[in-house]
Order: sequence, then structure tokens, then C-alpha cells
Amino acid sequence: MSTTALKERAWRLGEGVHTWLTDSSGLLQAAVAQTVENKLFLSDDVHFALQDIQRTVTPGVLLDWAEAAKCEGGASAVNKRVLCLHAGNLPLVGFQDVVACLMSGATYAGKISRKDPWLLPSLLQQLKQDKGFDDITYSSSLSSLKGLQANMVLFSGSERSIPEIRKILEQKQILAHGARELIRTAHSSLAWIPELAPEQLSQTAADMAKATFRYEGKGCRTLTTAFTGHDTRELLQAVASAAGTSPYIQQNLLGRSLPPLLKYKAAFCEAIGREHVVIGDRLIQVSEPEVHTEGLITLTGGTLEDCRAYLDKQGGRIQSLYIPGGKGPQPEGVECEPLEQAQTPPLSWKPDGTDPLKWICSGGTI
Amino acid sequence: MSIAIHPIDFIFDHKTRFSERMMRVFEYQYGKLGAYQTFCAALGTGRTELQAGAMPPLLPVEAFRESTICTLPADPSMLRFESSGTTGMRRSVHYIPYPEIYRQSVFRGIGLFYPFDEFIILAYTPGYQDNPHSSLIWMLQQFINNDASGLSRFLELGEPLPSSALHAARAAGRRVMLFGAAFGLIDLAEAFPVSLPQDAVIIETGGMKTHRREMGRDELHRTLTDAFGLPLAQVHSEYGMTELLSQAYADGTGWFRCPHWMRVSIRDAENPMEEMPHGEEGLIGIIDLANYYSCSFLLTGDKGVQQADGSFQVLGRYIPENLRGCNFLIDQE
Repeated sequence: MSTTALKERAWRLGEGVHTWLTDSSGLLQAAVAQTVENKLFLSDDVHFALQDIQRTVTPGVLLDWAEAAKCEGGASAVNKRVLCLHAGNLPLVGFQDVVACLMSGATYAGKISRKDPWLLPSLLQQLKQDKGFDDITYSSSLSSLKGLQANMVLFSGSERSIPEIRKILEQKQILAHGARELIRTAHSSLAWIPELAPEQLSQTAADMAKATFRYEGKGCRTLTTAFTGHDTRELLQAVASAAGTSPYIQQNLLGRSLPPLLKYKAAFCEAIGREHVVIGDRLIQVSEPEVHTEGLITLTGGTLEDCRAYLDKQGGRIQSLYIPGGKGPQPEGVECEPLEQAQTPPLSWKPDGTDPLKWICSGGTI
Repeated sequence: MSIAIHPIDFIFDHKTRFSERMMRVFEYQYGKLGAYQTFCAALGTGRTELQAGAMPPLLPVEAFRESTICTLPADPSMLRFESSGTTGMRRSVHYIPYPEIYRQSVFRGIGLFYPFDEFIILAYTPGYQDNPHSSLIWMLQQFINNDASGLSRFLELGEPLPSSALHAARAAGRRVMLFGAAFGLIDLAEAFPVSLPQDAVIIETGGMKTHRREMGRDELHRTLTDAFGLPLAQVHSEYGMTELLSQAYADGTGWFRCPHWMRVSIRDAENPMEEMPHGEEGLIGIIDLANYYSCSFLLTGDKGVQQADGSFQVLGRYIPENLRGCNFLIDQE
């Protein structure tokens, strides 16, 4: 794809997103209303996601991303058909894949999640109608994509779900022979919190609370595990205090009660005198890491080496390693992210360590 | 075998209904074990709820690692069992104020499933001196001590089964019961296969994850039958752990049965207060009344399945499904 073509696409895409957000057509407003009325996501989270897109998506950002991803002048994705199997655990969680695909010049086909059936389609409709992205196709049913013969596919899911997904795609001839796959299986994120100066404690705790509770604690960027060189009890109390004063948590989460498994785990904490706090339907406990229980957050006293060892052990299950401010000692060879950006990453963030735009532009070969 | 009378012998009295014995144990532990009382209270289950038909909550076995689970003041002179573990790992510790209860439990327990006096015990495990805090080794030492013939013994690790021991057992008209952890028996089978007498029984005590590779129970048992010339029906299993003072035994079918003072239930991993229907997998929950001075109501980290007759299978460690993140995101057609 030529530089001119790339710029033109970035401009059209940036404009399209802007038009969608300003919503003169009412498409987005209707999608938000339906999403909230059907209790698919919290209104607060939907608006937070939209504000984040508004803040991060501009033609300039898109061009910078394309440059970093080496789209310009490199192997082109034009004439390639890309299937995006969109997740539905967060509002607009497939947004990045849509943008990456359209920026690359590839033909986009989307399987829309039934858990997020209105928000993303409102954008796609806008882009198709007003911005000349005629080659967009999407459906909430894989059957509708039968015979698609896509050259590349992006999806997020558990390792366990992969064989089943592959079987469906094969049965319906949705993928072309030799199609490339970008499979994302990370399920949560980790933080290293060093010993904090007194003046750092409350801000770091507030950032931890935001990283933990935003989007109802769902999504692979959610902080579920932290190692810390700080006093665990003090840090736990600071996080609890920050959560207690967060309007998001107060308005949306505090009225909830623990599900049975977490109630059982909280009782165990009580029994053995383990430090813990209950915040809405979440339990934060000071213990060894325990990543498999939804709604459980663990805070583990230890060193940066302990954190690194845990990261190595978990491998691809961990999406990101956060550190406060993105600065300070960090494990060698690990790309750390600022804790405060856990739920507001740049558009070019890398799910499972792979830049989707770069991957598509390479024809799925990186 | 002489069995001393102990004030809590009601535990082993099969004429008293299990529920009645269980309530007595619950009353005692609820009153004496602060951690368990706190646990029950946090789950809203106390004496009143039990009298109304609720089941006692099952305390995760990790409690033995994180806290002192003993109804009496634990002191260093007490017999204690410790779980195995790697360096730096916290081990479960089970204090045994009255070893006689464990002794009674192991002898009465194995006696329910085997004509025990017909057997000599050959233990292919480390000896008691090397592992004074292993509940399994302590049990085997008791079995060996109890054999007046002197033919029962710990075997040398890394050595073949001594033919003299097999001959001596035959000459004395006794059958051979070969005990060992799974990984030890596999080493023995691979290095020194030998035909055991046809009426011998092998009892593996678990520990499938070897220093070389992980092996399923079926493969393990097939390997043992091939190496020792016995039918599958004579390769049995024992299910026990540091945190329990009773054991379940499985014959060649792989289904474990408990002595009458021990009950197993399969619990919903998402809500351990609830039992799973028969035939469905979940966490193995155990009520072991012999744990009178610690906690009888325990939830293990093992996965299992149970039949309507109470027998159960152990399906390995429970690995929780990953419910976070994106795993449920591709909704079905």
C-alpha cells in the first residue's frame, strides 16, 4: 500500500470514528441505549470506553501506529480477507482489531459477539455508509460467514476453546487453506508494586483499584495479581480505601454480594487470619497468586525476582506487567506498562504481545 | 493386634449412625477449634443450622499449611505429620495428640477391606528413620511392627525385591502386600521386574507425577501388572494424605471405598457448600471422624467423581478452569 493510500485510509478512518462519536445520525446513541437497557454492560463502562476511543483515535495516531507497524511500503494486506472473531466481555473490545484491519487495507469480516451486538456494528455501519469502507461485512452468526475463505483470522479465547473454534471454521469453510491465525489467550494482568514512599501510596492504590475494578473486573488487561515489596497490609488497606472513595465502584459495585466461591474463600481467610478485603463482589486477599478464580485478586509480598519467576511460570496467560508510572526497576527483557494506563492503553497496545496491525500487514507471518 | 480403648472410641462404633457420630465430632470441634468455628460462622452455618439438617462446612486442607489445626495446644513433643514439599514451600502440619487414634484408624480401616492377618507387608518406600513426619511411613511402620512373624519390612530402594522375602512369605503361608508410592513402584517395575506370587496384592499410594513424567492411573497399573505378573484386579490403590487419619482403598476397579467413619462427597468447585450429583466431577470433600483432634470436615484440592453407592474415583489434582478474561467470548452458534 502506498504512503498516499495509507494516509487516505487513516484520514477516512479517523474521520469516520469522529463522525460516529459525534453521532449526528443517532446510530451510536441508539446502540448505547440498547446495550445499557439490556444490561449487557454498565453505562459507566460504555461511556468510559467511548471517551477512551475519542481520546486516543485521531488520524495522526493512526499514521504513527501504521509507521511503527511498518505497514507503509511493506508487505501489503490489500486483497487479503481478514476475519475478526470479536470478544464480548467488554464494551467495544474488538475496536482495535477493526481499526487495524481497515488501516491495513485488508477486507474486513467480523463475527460480532452476541454479548456486544450493537456498539461495534454501529461503528461499522457508519464507516460503511459514510466513509466508503464498502468491503466491510459482519454478522453475529458464523453461519452467515460460510464460505468466506478468509486468509487471516484474529480471535481471543481460552486455549481450551481453540479446537472447537477451528472445527467450526473448517466445517463452514470460513477460512482459506493455509489461513494464518492470531490467537490471543491471555486472561489477566500482573503488577509489580515496589516499596512506596508515603506520598506515592494513595495514588498507586487508586491506580490499582482502577486497574482492578474498571469494566467490572473483566478483560485481560484487568489487574488480578500483584507482587509487592511494600507492606502488604498497608497496601491492601490503601486499595480498599481507594475503592471506597471511587465513584465508579461506589455507584456500580458496592451493592453486589460475593458469589458462593468467593464467600467460601473469604470465610477461609477469616478462619486462618489471612488479610483480605471484600469490595462488592470481589475479594482481595494477601496470599500466593491464584489466577483462576473470577473475582479474586491476590496481593503477594515478595521481590521483583519473585514477580519475574511468576511471570515466567504463567507464560502467555498474563497479558501485561504493570509498574507504577512505568518507571523504576523492572524485569529484564519484559516490556512493562504504566499501571495508570491499565484500562486506558494506547490504540497500539499489543494483545498477547502482538501488534495486530503489524501482524495483518505482514500477512500473518510475524 | 491389640486395640486400646480410648474415650473417643465412639468414632469407630459402626452400630451408631454416622450422622450421630458426626454431630458429636462437630460439636467438639466447633467448640474447641477457633479457626473452624470462625469458618462456619462466616458461612452462616452453626449448631442450629446443623440441627436443622445442614451439613458441616468443609474447611480447605490448606488450613493445615496456613494455621495450626489442633483442638489441643500443639507442642513440639507431639507426633506430627508433615506434607512433602520442595525447599521454601510451606508444608501442611498435622499434630497428633493421641497417636493411638491414628493407629486404630489404620488397622481397623485396612481390616475392613483385606484379611490383613493373611499378609506380610513389603514397603518399597523410604524408611521411618528417613521420614519420621510422613503419615504414610508411620502407618507402614505400624503395620511392620504389628507383624509378629518379622517378615514384614521396608525394602531397600533401588534394589530388586529380595527373593528371600518372597520365599519366606510363602513358607509361612502368608500373602504379600507390596506398598509403594506410584513413582517408586514404577522405578522398581522398570528396573527389576519380577513375578510376584499370584495371590499377592500391590497397593500404590498415589503420587503419579514422577521425577520423569506424569502418568495416569490406568497406565501405571498396566505397567505394574506387566512387571510383576499380576492381573489388574490385584493392583490396588490407597487414598490418604497428611491431613487425614483415615484411608480409602480401591480394588482393581479403581473405585475407592471408605471405612464407615469416613465419608466422601463431591463438591461443586464453584460452590463447595453444594454437592455434585452422582457421576459429575468436582472437588473431593471428606469427613474423617478420626481427625477428632484436628478438623474432620475437609475439602481437598483433588478432583473426583462418585457413584450412588458412595464409592469414588480420584481424577488427579483439580485444575480450575480459567474463567477470567476472554475464554467464554466466542459464543456458540
